[in-house]
Amino acid sequence: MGLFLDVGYVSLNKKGEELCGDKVEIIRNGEEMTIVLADGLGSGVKANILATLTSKILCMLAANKIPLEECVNTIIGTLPVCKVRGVAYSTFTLLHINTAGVGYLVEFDNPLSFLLSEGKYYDFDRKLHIIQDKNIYITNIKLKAEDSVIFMSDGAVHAGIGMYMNFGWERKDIIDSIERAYEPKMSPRCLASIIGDNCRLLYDNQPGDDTTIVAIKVREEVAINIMVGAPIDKEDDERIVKAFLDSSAKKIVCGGTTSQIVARYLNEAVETDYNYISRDIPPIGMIKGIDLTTEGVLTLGKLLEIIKKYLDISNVDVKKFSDKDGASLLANILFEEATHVKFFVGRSINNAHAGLPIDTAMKLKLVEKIAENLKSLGKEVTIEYC
Amino acid sequence: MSILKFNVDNCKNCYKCLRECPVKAISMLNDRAEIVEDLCILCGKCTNVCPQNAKVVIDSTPSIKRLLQENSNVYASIAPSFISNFNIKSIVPLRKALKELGFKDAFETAEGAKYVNKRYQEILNKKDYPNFITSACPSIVSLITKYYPKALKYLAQVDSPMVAHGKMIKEKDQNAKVVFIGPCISKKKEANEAMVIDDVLTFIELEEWLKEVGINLEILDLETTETEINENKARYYPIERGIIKSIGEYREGYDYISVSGVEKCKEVLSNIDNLSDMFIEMSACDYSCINGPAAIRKKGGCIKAVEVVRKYTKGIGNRPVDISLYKADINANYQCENVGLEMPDEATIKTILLTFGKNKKTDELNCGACGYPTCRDKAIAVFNKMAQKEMCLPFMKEKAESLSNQVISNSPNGIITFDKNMIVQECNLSAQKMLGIEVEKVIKKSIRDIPEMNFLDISEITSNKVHLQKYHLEKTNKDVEVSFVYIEKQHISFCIIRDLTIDEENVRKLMELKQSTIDLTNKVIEKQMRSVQEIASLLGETTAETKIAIYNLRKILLKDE
Repeated sequence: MGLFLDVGYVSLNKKGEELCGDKVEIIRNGEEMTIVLADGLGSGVKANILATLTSKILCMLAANKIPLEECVNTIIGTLPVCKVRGVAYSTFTLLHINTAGVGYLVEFDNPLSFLLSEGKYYDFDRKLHIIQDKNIYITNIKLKAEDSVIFMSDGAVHAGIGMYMNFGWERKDIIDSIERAYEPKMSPRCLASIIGDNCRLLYDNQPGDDTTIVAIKVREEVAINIMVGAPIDKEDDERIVKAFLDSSAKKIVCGGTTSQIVARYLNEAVETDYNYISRDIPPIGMIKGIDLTTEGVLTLGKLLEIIKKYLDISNVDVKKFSDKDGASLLANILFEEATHVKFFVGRSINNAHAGLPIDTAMKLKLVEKIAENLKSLGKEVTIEYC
Repeated sequence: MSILKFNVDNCKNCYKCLRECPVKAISMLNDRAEIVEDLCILCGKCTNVCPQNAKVVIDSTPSIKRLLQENSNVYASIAPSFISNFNIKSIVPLRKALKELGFKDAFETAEGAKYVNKRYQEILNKKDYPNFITSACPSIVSLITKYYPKALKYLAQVDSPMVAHGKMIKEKDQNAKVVFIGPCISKKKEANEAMVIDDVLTFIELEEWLKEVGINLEILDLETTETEINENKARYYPIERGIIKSIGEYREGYDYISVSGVEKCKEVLSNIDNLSDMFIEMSACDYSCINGPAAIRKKGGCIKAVEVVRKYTKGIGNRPVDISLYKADINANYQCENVGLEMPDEATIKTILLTFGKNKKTDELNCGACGYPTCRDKAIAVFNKMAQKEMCLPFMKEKAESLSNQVISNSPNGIITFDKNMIVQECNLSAQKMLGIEVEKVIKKSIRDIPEMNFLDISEITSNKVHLQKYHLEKTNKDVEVSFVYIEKQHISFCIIRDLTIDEENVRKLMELKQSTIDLTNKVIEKQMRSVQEIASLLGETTAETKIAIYNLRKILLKDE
């Protein structure tokens, strides 16, 4: 089993700006991943254009194995010169890595990155290269499971300047806070959110500069199988359930009818768990041998709702899902824990839905949307319809 | 020289003098009441009824003082009602007081009255008069000569007791000056005309004068041991039926009647042609001379005064006064005086009536509020420039009411009036509509009992200031602006309610429009920004792709070599 490259990032706009002057570009090619964080000079639209061009060009070129010097040339040649300042300029941090954990790190004028092993910071030697009169650090790295790389833009380290702290927080403070925030099973997005939130607090909710935190984590694969809805053909029930269960992946079952089918196959009963009562979401169930059993459509609908904030990169409030209702538990497993998700989607018409404004088409749409969101976060998603 | 003076500043246009004047001898022009001397009979009613004391009798005291200074034989002729005007037992203390003031002597006018009675008897014996009207009262003489010429032939052509007495005194002493002292102001005019009397002092003026000099008649009276020895029935003159009582022998063939008060006399005089064989004692004042306009009002009023006069006349003196030696001629020559108002023609009267709202006969209310008994009389007075149309109370009231009523009824603003306890007095149609109330349900109710009016915050109201406030009315869903006015002097308050709903709605609509425009603008900006981002992204992509392609191409080309 290979390693999974998980990425999460948050970005806070400078107060009053519509567009962020920082841009993150991620390209995944099979077993490789390239990430660039670029910080455009100034703020607003101009900075955004500089950052977008830089991150896009650099990321694509690096992903296609173009030598770094060539990349830098291209960027310098392309970036539009600012009329006011007379320079065309954007910083960048680039990480190129494969599923074996082998890769390299390029740092130019951004705050220096942080490398963590199992949540502990460790220093490393950086090699200085001068390309086109620019000081660029290039470092070869080798990562293993539970190693993390964190990079951030200028705005992050300057948080609190002149306000809560005279000179912003220092590097050792940042390391301290990352180590304290880190938890073993934590997703990189969660980690990035925590650091981002700290910055926001230091800025007293009014960021003085665009602030972006990118976290990359090398993880062991975590596979989830999720079954939603009964197979259209009753004959297929057994076959599908067997396929669903035959895996070391964690198992989730959504929907009353689906639960019955699975439970019947396992010769188990479906029990309802009344330990946690939520106002909007039906209670979860319990089937021995299944990791999570929830209700169907309503829970999935709610899941999409609570995911919205999670997917918003400017939102640093949502770190993880700590509620115990069906939708939150589902969100936690799918978005925080999972790296690979396989959907088993039954398309049969549920008679219990007759007369209600719910129908199979709606359920399918929900599942598709969830799958889409998971993909956008870099997870491997497959859907099998039955 | 006018006998009755008029104080312009005090006159408040209440028309009371005109209403009380028996002959309507007062003109009201430019809101000033003025006595028309030609028409006036000097009955003195206006003087006494004027609540503002705008009419005063001319004070003769200074001229009499001057007379006393310049002359040594000034005699006082004292009207028989003196006994009820002062708290004295007889003329004796009064004589003393007058002598102190400078008079040579003082005698009772009743002596003249006895002389007049003698003349009356002579005339009655001749049986010349089908009716006989006494002429002791100069106001009555004026009344007849000015207004009832038809009765002139019945008027006794005999001097009044005052004039007779004056002639008697001057018969005795050629150089004598005579001053009459009585309760009458009409006598002042009679004296001017008769000339035998040099001046007239009223009892009121005398009282003032004695006070000024410090003479106390009552104390003098107590100190007096002397008493009056003369007896004289003519002392009955100043009371009703007094003349008749004093005559003694009642001539057969006559009915003896006493009429007091101008209105009563007018009634008799207008019917005089239908009367015969009547001896009519007439006086202008109710209760006769004891109630004269210049009499000193005492406790017990007129009835007490009558009693005093009777007691005095009955009880004093044991020797009848002797008038046999007098020869003075007291025949009078009362002539008709042509006064009276010019009579306009019927058409003119009608036109004038129209000007103060009398369009048809039924409009002529003849209410007397203006002072004139009938609307026609008023019209004639207007013609003679003695009255104004604005004096017609019903007319003015209607005019004021109708105009203001129209304004209030038709005002597009709601108008509600309250009394001092915040009880609704009026509520116009607009107010009813705006508040959603029916007038019957709110009239005479307290503002606190009307839920639709509860929004009015009256705790902040201060007097005479206009209190402006905006409210939203739940019941009719209107926005209104309320001006609340409290008038302290009249203890009323009212509010004017202006409907702002349309204005407010327009303002709201404008705000909405502005907001949606702003939203639209924001959306455009957002879209633009996103486009910029996408473009930059695309640019980056194409740049990279181009670069990759060229690099790879270069690699291949170089490899070949």
